[in-house]
Amino acid sequence: MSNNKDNTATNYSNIDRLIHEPARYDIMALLYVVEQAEYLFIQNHTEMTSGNLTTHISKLEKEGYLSVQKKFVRKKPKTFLRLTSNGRKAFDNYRSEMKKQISTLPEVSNEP
Amino acid sequence: MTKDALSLKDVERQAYRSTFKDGFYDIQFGVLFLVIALISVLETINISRFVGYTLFVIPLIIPWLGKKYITIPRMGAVEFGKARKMKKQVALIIGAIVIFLTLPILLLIVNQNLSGVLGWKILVIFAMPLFVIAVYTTDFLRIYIYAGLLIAAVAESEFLLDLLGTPFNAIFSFGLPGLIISVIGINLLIKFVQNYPRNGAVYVEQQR
Repeated sequence: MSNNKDNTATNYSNIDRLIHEPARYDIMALLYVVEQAEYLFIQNHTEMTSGNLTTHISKLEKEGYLSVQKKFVRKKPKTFLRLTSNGRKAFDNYRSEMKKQISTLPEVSNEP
Repeated sequence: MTKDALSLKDVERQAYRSTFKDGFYDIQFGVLFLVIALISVLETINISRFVGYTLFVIPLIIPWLGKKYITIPRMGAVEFGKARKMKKQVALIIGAIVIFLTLPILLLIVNQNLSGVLGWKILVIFAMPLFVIAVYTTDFLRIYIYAGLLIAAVAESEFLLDLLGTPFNAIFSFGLPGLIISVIGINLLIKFVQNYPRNGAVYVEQQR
């Protein structure tokens, strides 16, 4: 019994906690399927407040998962975000780890 | 974590389809129908066909201008992945083939070697299969309905020709659906403008 507990704990430790947070997962998933996106686009899709989104982006940037690039488009400052190769790799690992975890869950019976 | 949350195809499709929320492609199709009806009216009052054909520029530039000045400043710019880019390139090639194949027919209509209705009928039937493939590659599902409406409008205009004569057959068969599609597009645009205000978010780097 105790062995099972230990195994479970070890398996969960493989999950990237930084990506596991739902808001950051949304950001990573959206950036994973595009080449790059403007900050405004990410905010509109994730429906986060500016402060909240900036905090999550900073954490992901600090970890080297995404790069933030500032450009001037028709004299207006725009911020573009894209996943780094490290970020893509981390997201791939996270997804395969999650799939693995879900597949090991026992079937739930609908009967009371 | 649900199965849906892990489906990246859905995330990509949802993000891509959100770029159609602005209604500009609907307005484009509506205006295209209206221009066809207008050409018929212009012909009746003896205004050169060439003047009418220049009006086709309007539906072509509507999405381009709209996206540039209304959609992107409100929704934010996005560059999609390689698969989407490839699909877009295929759509562009198909579009070029459609133009290349239908241009001789269009020239025949302009030179009046083909009667108006017959010419349009050939033009639509000829372009439709390629047009549907192009629609598939863009993932904009409402165009299927508009393509169907275009076929119906051609048949209807021929049917109404004996009943109403020119240009009323074109006004009813092309003008009326054009007006309805345009209203749908404008309605979507108003909702889009309300949902996405101009003074959107600005990224401010956090102090570390």
